[in-house]
Amino acid sequence: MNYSWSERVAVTGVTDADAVASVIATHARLDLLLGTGGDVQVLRMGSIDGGWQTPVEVVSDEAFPSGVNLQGRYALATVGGNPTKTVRFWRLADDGSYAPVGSAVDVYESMGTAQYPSLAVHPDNWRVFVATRVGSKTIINSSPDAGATWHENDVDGVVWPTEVVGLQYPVLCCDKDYLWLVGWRAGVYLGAAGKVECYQFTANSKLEQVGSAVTVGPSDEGKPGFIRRPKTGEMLVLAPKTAGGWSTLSGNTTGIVEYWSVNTGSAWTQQVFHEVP
Amino acid sequence: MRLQLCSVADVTLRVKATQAQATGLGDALWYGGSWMKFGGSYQGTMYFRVVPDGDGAGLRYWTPGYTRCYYTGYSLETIGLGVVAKEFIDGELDCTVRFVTDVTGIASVYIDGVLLEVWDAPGEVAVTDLVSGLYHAVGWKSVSGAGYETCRLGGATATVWDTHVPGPSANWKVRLDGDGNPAVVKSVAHNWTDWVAWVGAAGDPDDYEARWDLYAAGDWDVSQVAVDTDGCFYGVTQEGDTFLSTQRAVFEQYRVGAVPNLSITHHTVSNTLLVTDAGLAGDGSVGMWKVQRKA
Repeated sequence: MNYSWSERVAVTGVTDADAVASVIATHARLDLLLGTGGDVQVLRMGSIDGGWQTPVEVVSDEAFPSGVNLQGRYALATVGGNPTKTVRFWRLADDGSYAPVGSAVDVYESMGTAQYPSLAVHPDNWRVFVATRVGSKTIINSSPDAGATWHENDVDGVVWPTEVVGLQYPVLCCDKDYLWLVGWRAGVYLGAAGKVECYQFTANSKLEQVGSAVTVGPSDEGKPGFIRRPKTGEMLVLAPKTAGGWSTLSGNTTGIVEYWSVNTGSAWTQQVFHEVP
Repeated sequence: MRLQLCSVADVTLRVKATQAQATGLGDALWYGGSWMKFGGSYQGTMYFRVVPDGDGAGLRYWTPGYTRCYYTGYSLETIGLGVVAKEFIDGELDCTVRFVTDVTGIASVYIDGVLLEVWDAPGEVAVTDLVSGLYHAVGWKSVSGAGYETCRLGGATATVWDTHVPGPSANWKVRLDGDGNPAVVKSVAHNWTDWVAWVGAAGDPDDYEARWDLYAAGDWDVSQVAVDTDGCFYGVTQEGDTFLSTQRAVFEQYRVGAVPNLSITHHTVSNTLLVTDAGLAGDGSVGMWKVQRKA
């Protein structure tokens, strides 16, 4: 792909090796979402060049925040409890606070600890999907009403939540026809600790898998980045590299590996490695 | 804070369990029971366990400080909750636990208006800010699944540095292996020395209470831990205390801190992809990159 990467800029004042970070953006706002120390903080950005303001705690005692632009307003998914068993959904209120919406999604005890929820919104009907790592699997829940209610059992002939066994650290992306799920699967692959896989589903109340899972490429353990550009349809997956030994990338350098697809995730090409100091 | 004299505190419980938790085990109802934790800190933690059937239907509970209290004769039906055990397993119920202390500090415990027990040990009830109002279950602690191998207990965290335990953010749990039936064990002890002393006294793998007692390492300072070739484990606290377990044990480690995580967001105004990386840089920093189509 003909894309250029800027130099890496460290976010001012953040030194937490266990942080979970992402950016959420609307036309009016640009925020860095940070899960750190058991709380959720927001660092508002002056521009895409940075200008981070002082962190503001917006949700306490919740972890692994994931944000999305829902109808022009931020929404978050977090997990809470100890161990984390409950996925909660939050909307940004007029006063700048985040208020919980609807009932929480309780993860069944037998499944394991819930982590790393990821949100996606259908662009037409605003159905919200949340994929959550629960133990060594991913579960997908769906809300038809902006988080007010979540499918938990048999709805419209579909058993919710939908599971993908063995897939961890899920990331979702949705267009009007399809929902894509990208995540990490453990098991040495081309010298890495695992690999990133891509799943495609129909994006409606009958979440049905389209085809088989596609291997994106090798990846060490971690949550990948994933986006599909709405206008061009290009897909970008970013995978963490934390150790040497990859047959596709030499050296022990830590960094980000960039994979692109131009055919809705059917095939992926490794492009560039970006070193993280 | 601790319950004050002549105070009244209510805790609202929402108990929820699924059939999946109670299948596949001979003593399934023990394993189908659910732990609930109240309060945000260890000092303010009270553990409840609902035992819907089997070896004494009822609600078990104990508090920090090693005081384990339970009431096995408590029947969910007899206090008018309107559920029976089987229904409970499949569903959920709400009930209120009320703690009332008198002038001497003795606490009486009521569930939905029915006296459950009188605690005559003032100061043992240390539920954070109970008096301020209602609490809701904020987490679950249970072991479930069809077989020991799939049992999971979370929430036990320790900061551990050792070649056996990749850290610094490692979560760990211990399984006793005394009788060939591994059981997950945690403890409410405040430190390793106390916990090992407790295990030595009560760590009978055939004892349900021993199996289920919690070791919540939490914020305690454990600098090293290891497992020897016989399966015994030992550790060194940051205070220099050392111990060697009297039980064969198996350690399992898993991370509770975040792993490296990446994100991509499309900033429509500038038509730029914003990439973040966390947990990758050696200095703990969170990085941001701008990705733009080449001109």
